[in-house]
Amino acid sequence: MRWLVRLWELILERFHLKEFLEHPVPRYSNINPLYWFGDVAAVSFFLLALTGFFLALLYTPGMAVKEVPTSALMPWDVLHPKKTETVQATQSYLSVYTITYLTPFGFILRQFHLWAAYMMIMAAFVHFFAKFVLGSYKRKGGGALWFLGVLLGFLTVNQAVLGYILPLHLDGILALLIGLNLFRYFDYIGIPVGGLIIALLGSNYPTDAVIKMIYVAHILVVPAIILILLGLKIQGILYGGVSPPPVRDQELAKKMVDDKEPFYPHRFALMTGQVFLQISLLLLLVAFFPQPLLEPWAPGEIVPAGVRPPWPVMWYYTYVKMIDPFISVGIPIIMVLFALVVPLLDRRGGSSISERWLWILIAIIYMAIIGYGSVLGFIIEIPKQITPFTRIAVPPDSAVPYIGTPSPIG
Amino acid sequence: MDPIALAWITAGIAVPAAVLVYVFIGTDMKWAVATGLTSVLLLLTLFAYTANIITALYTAVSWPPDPQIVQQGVMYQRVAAGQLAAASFIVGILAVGYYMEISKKRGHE
Amino acid sequence: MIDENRRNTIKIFLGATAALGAGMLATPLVGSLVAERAGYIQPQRTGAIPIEVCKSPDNCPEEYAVPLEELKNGPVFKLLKVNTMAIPAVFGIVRATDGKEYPVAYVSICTHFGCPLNVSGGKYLTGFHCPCHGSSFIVCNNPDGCPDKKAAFLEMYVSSGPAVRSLRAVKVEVKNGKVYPLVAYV
Repeated sequence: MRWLVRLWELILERFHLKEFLEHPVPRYSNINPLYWFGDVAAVSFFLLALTGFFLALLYTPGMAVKEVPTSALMPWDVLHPKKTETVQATQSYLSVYTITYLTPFGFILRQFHLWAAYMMIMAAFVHFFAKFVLGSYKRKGGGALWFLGVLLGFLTVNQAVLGYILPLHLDGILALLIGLNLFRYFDYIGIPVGGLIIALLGSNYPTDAVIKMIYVAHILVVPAIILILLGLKIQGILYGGVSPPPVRDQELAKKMVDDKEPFYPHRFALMTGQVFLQISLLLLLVAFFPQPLLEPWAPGEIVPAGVRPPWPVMWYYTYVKMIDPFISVGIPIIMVLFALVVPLLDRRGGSSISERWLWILIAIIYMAIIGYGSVLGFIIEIPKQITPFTRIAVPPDSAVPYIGTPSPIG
Repeated sequence: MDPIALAWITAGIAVPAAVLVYVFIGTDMKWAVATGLTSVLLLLTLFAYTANIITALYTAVSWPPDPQIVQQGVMYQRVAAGQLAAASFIVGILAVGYYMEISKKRGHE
Repeated sequence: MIDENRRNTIKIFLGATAALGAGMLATPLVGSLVAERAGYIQPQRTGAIPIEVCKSPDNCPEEYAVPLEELKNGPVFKLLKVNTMAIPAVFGIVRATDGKEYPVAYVSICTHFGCPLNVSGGKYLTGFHCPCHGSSFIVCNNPDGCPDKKAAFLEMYVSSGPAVRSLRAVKVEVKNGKVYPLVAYV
């Protein structure tokens, strides 16, 4: 026991960890729940990295199609009962199927990864709105942190979509196809995005190479960028402090900022508790609300009716159904760009709630756009699709399946 | 053992243990740690038992899989996840309790 | 002053070196990815990229061909693998209003958001339906064209839903009882 303590002290001394461990943390940020969600998202990221490592070892990407007996499909995975003896599934789907249903503890592994991803998105959204309402970007250095945060949020949603594609279940392939073709609207205004996608990925329809690229992006490229930005952000918070308390009274605010505790053991104990409680919550979600591994699909098969996107993009699905495609395609871009420039627009006044009611209203509207779309997407079937006011008349060369005049058979 | 029975045993240990730990955190930290660690040990023993069943079950898996075995495996794994969740929860509230204890102490000084 | 100048010179020098180094690294890295695929970067302003599948039916690989006998039972899905691309094509026979039969092929990617399309119609190909956002496509089977729909003969125009343009076609030619794809518009 003695030498363990000495080893610990040696590590603390040699790596100058004492300065870090004893740095003071204000008490109000430990107690106020509005300050917790960034931590929750960050811890979720590390839990995702941990489970993702094992999933990456077990998973093999591929578009090769194989026959699977229908009896192997779990009833909770299919939209409508299958009438055929066998169904077609891709290599990726079978790989995830094997992890989920035929590997000991694979079910827990995959479900944990999925729920941790959902929790990371949820926590990131709440964190975003909390900081929006608090106006945290107004303090010195806050703008840079806000900028990093918006980029991280964008990457988080990207990562969720990429991860959703990887099992290549029906919904995943649809997400992939939409991702490969959505930004081709830029082709119509002369920006060759469609050509760029084909040049980079080799195809605008799923092939082995495309899936491999998505796999590499999901397990290596995007997490690496997230890790670097997250490191920068933690560094900024460590030396710049957390956002000030949302009170108007300057004296009270100063008193709250000055009421400090050392990181170790106070905040450290709290964070340990947070990590364990978070793992506990995720495992409970796995135990009580396991998510289905949706049904397989292979190119050329009929897509059953009633396919819906997952909840993080449900709001977008709603607006896509209601608004002209040339506008709806730009909604996420506008949302991200607006979030980026918020610190530049909102500069005057203090950071207390009564001083910045206008921006709190804007934050609520921003929230309402996403919330309203999500709820609407779940509760109602949008009855009639819109007719876009932008129908493009195409020359016959790309629309008529004959070079020259069509010739009948027989 | 049947997964449902295992789940009830888990809940039977976890819920009273969590309540006891919560009560003791407010009064005496020592007792909280003692009950907490004992219950965590119990839950982990239960988890080891469940894990044993799971590994034994999955040696019987072949292709194409028997949906019966898959469904049973899913049930056992959900119970196992619940056991780990309970153990993790107790450790978590102990840590938070410890934080509340030390930050209260400083307040009295 | 001299010191300041020197510092700036060093900064510029270092910056230029870093940029050169990054460029030297990036060229092979990006080049290895793009390679022979770069030839495809020519989307038309109407949202289609022509991909040549075969020069003529004479030297077209047999795996691309669909026998007419098979088509007479109903539309056939075929995943055309051209270079690095996979092109989902649906072959079928359209019955014109004058009673003549025309073999056709279309790329079954929705022109709205890119979802895979479900074929509608039985023995003859009459249209497509998108399961994602509900666009419907119907073939113009009047040999004189469909001016009220602004569609040419055999054009798979948008009949309802949010899609913005008619379906992209695959140019076909019939030879020896088989339908060969020549150019696919993706």
